[in-house]
Formats: sequence, structure tokens, C-alpha cells
Amino acid sequence: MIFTPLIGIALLVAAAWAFGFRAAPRLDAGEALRLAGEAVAGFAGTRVDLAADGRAALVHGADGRTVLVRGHGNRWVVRPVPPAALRHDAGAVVVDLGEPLFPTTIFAPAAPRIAA
Amino acid sequence: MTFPDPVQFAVPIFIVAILAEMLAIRFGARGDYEWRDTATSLLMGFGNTMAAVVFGAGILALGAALWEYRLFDIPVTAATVVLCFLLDDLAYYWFHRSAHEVRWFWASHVVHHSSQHYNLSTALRQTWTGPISFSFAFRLPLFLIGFDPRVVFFVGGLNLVYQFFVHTEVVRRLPFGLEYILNTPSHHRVHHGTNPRYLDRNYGGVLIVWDRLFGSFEPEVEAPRYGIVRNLATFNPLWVAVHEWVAIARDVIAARDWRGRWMAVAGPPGWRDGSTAAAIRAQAAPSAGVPAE
Repeated sequence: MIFTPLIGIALLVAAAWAFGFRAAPRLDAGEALRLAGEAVAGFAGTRVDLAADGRAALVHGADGRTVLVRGHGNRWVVRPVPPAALRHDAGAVVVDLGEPLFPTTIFAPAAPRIAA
Repeated sequence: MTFPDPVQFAVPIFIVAILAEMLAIRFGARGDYEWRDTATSLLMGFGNTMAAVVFGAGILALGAALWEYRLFDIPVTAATVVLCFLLDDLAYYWFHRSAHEVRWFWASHVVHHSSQHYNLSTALRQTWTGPISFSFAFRLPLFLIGFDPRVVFFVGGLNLVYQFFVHTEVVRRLPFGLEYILNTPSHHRVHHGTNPRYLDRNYGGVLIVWDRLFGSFEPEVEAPRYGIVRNLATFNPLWVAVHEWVAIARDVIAARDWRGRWMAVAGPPGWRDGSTAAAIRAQAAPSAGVPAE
């Protein structure tokens, strides 16, 4: 009896997948700037470092703050990045927010740097 | 007189409606789904049902026990069922408002807002911890007034079923002046928006008149950005269910004094880091959002 609703859930999820609701969009600099500005009050980005796969960006603000934009399904999650959460490792920039179930984000060396 | 459980009757309709909405979106209607987001929403709904099985008997018994001390003997008639429905909707308004303005209740209710999508599956993204937060307390006065417990649970079910259908982007506006009276898809999209002007607005369940009356109404004038102020980066249902409770525990431990501990539990969400709805609204520049159609 308990499995009946689980079968229904599986069917609906399969339907969502089959109907094509599984996109993983890529960021561009303009989108990253917009998302960071919308999510962080008073933040105005001036420079964007995009991840190679287009699924994350570091947005640098005129006030010295940095904001991470990271893909989550077909939406984005945005967080201010405290300096302590940023480190450099073999040329890559690693963002580890220390937040439960928030994955570490790695920006490979020579990520394209785009001025706003 | 027997009263059916409206939710039980509506479940097959929910399933068909979700499939129909997916198809409509595929054929060009407004809206969006994401298969993992849908999975999380539906699993949250399943867990909510399981929590109701575990705690439901106790809540039923509590309602029946309070009814023994009722102020009035209210007969079960069509008129009293309608009256109970209206008062239950008023109780829902205050429950819902508290669920956004008091962190203890928000810790439970945040689950419903944790999707960045707004579709019929979002309606089923419900808390697993409602009984722990004592959210049912808002309905208890109805028993004390003297409404038959069967009627109270029946109208509560009707309220839930109605609210399922407002979780859609497919419907833009309702005709015939209904937008003035009812909580509609448009009004509830505002409620799920994180745009500063939309935070903590439109709490009504079935009727939007409560928001107009108590000053919490906001019309849909720009495209909502759905979700919560700090959107989750995981589809894990367990974390969705408990993340705000964990945050409360951390803030209580980190608090330096008793006021800090109290506000971490009973203050508005975002009190500790200055990201309350009121603070965000105050900081926001005049909106340059995308106009709603």
C-alpha cells in the first residue's frame, strides 16, 4: 500500500524527464551579473570569471565583494563568497563555502575573464 | 452525516493535472519543470502524508478533546459548514502569516518555498515537520468555538485542495472580478516570489480578502523570481526538510545572550544576518523587474 504513491511519484518524475524538463543551461557574463545583482542586495558586479563548462561564475563587485553563481538543475543558486571561502590550488580557484550539501566549486586555470 | 477526506478524493485529479500542465508547457504554455525538482517536491509531499499518518491521530484526538469544552453547540448544517470554512480560512491566514514571520514556524513552512519552480508539483512540496512546529494550533480555536471536528477537518481539506490549483504559471488572471475576492494563481505567484516587493505578501488560502483587510496584499506587477532568499543547492529531500531547523540550532548555539537565542528561534527569518524581508525591502532599489503580463 505504501508503495502505490511511490509508483505514482516515479511515473510523474519519468514523465517530466521524458517531456524534456532536464536542461542544464550555461551562463554568460551578462546573465551572471544579473543574477548576482538580483540575489545580493546592493551588489553591482564589474567583472565575471566563468567556469569552463558555463555552469558557474564568480562575479566581482566594485565594492570588493565576490559572489558565486552556481547551476542547480535549470536554475541558479547565488551566494556571497567570504574571502576565507576562496583559495587557489594549482592555478585553479576553489570556492568552498562550508555550507552543508553545497558542493565545492572549482574554476579551472585560465577561466575567461570578462569585464562588464 | 459523514464527511469525506477531500484530499484523498483529489489525489488522482492532482496527478492528471500535473501531467496536463507538463504537456501544456511543452506545447507553449507559460511555466517550467525540472525533473529532479519535481522528484523532490513529490517526495516531500509523500513524507508529509507519512507525517500525517504518524501524528494525525494525536491531532484528531486533541481536536475532539477541545471540542468537549466548546463554547457553543453548533449544529452541522450547510450554513455552519460555510461559516466554518470561512473561519478556517481566516485561521489559515494567520497561521500562514506566522509561518513567514516567526522562524520557528518558518522552519517548517520554508520547505514549501524551497523550489525555484512554480508549478503544480510545487503545491505538493510540503513539510515533514509541521506537527513539531505546532502549526495545527492555529486551527484549535475552531474546536473550542464548537464546530464539529469532522467539519473542521473537512473544510481544512477543501482549503488544501483549492490551494493546489493556484500553483501554476499557466493561468494568468481569473475573470469576473474573482481576482478581487479569491487567492488566484497570480496572487499566489507573488507569494512565492523573492522579489523584494513580494516578500511576505499574499498569505490568503482561498480568499485574498484577508490580505486586503490586514494590509499584506501585493498585486503581480513584475515577473516573480521563485524560491527563497538563500536558495538551496541540493535536491536532497532530507536536507530540504531539516535545513532551517539545523540553522536555528546553529544560531542558538552561536548566540551570545538570551535575546540572541530567543530571536534565533522566535524572531523573523533572517534576523541574525540582517536579511529579514523588511530589511531586504528597505535596501532594494526601486524595482527594475520584468513586467508581468
